[in-house]
Amino acid sequence: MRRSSMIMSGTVLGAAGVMVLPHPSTPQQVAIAGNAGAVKAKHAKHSSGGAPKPAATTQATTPKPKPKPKPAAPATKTVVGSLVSDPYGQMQVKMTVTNGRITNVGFTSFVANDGQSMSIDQYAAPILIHESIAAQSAHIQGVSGATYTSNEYMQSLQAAIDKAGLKA
Amino acid sequence: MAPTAAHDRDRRSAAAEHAHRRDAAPRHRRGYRWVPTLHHRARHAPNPLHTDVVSWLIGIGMGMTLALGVRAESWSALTKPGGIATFGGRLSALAGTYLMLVVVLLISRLPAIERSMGHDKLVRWHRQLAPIALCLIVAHGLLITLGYAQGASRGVLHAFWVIVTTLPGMLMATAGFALFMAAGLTSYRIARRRLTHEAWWLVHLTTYLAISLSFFPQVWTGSAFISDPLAKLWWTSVYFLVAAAIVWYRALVPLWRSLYHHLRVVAVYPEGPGTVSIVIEGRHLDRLPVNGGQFLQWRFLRPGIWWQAHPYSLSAMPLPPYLRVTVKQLGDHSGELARITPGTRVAIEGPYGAFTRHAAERHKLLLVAAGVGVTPIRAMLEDLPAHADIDVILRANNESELVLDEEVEELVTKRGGRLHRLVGDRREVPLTPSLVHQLVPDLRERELYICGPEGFTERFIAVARHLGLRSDHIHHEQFAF
Repeated sequence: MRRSSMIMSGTVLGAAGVMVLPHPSTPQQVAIAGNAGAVKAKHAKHSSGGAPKPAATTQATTPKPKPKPKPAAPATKTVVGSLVSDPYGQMQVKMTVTNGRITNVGFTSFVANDGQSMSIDQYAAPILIHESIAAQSAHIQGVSGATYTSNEYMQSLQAAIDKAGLKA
Repeated sequence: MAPTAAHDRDRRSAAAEHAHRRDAAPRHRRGYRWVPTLHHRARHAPNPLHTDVVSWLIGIGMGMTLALGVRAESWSALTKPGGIATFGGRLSALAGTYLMLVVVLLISRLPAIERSMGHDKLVRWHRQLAPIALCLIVAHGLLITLGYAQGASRGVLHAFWVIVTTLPGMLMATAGFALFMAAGLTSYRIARRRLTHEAWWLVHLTTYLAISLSFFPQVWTGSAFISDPLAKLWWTSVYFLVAAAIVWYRALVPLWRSLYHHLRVVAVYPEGPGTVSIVIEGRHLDRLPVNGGQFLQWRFLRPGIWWQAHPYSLSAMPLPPYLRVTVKQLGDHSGELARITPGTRVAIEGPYGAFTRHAAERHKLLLVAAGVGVTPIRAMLEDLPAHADIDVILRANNESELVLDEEVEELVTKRGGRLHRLVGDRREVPLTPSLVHQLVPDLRERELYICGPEGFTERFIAVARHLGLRSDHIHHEQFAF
């Protein structure tokens, strides 16, 4: 009896102790490792077998992927896709188009409602970006195991492609 | 029978005498007679403060775990479809896993709790808490699936499939869950009765694997851990501490003690029909931290029986270089006792148990034993404080089942106590309050220690309660685990 009251008071004490500590607020902004260029570099390195896209590799090896040295300035533009949400979070893509080609995809908003979704998002996002740049389209296979994230991504990216007037 | 050193009161010379006889006639050890001696030195007293500290720590840990789960949640996630179910699922996962770790810690032989709580009480708690932990883990699975299904507006089965096939580590989690369920179900009384002890034990052993498997999915996907390095550190430490306690106290300490004491059977001789005493020789037995009334798990290292551990009380305090257990041939290892011959190596786990002098608050004692349950009482009689006022009741169905009673009588006489023999079957000697009151008029003022078959123990405790003895002055220990 005496011991169970110790356990109970301990529980209250422990809970109170943790509750007064500050905590990173949720929902969390999904942190994607590096920018899309870095992501591409990672994937190019990891893809075994088939030769990686030469364009992606070259771009990745240059420290800053954005500034294309030669062509006229207006060739690069950034288009924002639609804001898509589902029960697990929300997402809005930011697509960079250079000379009519999708060269980079980032996010203006990428929020997971919970940790589990966030871990899926973190895992899926680089793959989705890589796939869509390779395909130059929003019609990609998606990431198995991240169905919702993939659908959100495709939807938002399709809106951006439509807005940019690309044929994809 | 060889002449014995029964009247030699000096322990050292008794041992020397025995050693001498062993050298002279190694094949005639049956005349070995254990010399009852009195130990008045209080040894190896448990510290109840340690148990208090462990209780506090267990409570604080539970609070921290739940709070870490709660504070990882957000209001917006709660109000979304399926938010409440998901939240409940996460909390039940944290509570269930933490409770499962506590359940395992209870039987880790951690001396801080083992020595003052007693092994049987810890096993009882283990049995009562484990189903609760299992229910919480089942609830976790159901609620999370339900929450995801609601959130995605899809069917429950679809959500389940998505969770199991997509979230990292979920196959491990599912496998661990299946192992938990197997261990839980085989422990239910109906299943347990149909399984051999060893089959049950093997299934139970896999729960360690299940617990290890459950760790990774939690830190990979658990919302409380994924974005909170402190929580991750906390959870890893809890797992690590529990694992360390188990490896240390359940494996390394017994292994070390078995090697250090280097135990070996030197004699097996009958005490009565179907009851034998086994004398075991070992090194440094004065350093074995044992109290009278405690038991050890014994493993006799012979082909076919080495993997079975039997809980036997010492039937006398160690008389270095000797230990003695007295065993009634029961159950599925009855024939195997015959294989325990002189020379057999012995491995031990223990000593365990709180059925010792340290459990008593009073100096007036009533020790009750039925049949072979006399063994811990016999050892305790050597170990009790000098000023103890002792009544002993020995119960047996017939004279031949009354084992070790001469040794008990000798010790009781030396201590100026009273010995009552109750011989006869239940109809001849019914256990009634009036009989017990007649034997021990001042029962209410005594501390009761009782050891015997479950039915007898329960009946006697009922009588003692009826006669006004409070339950915190009643001590008994069961070996049915």
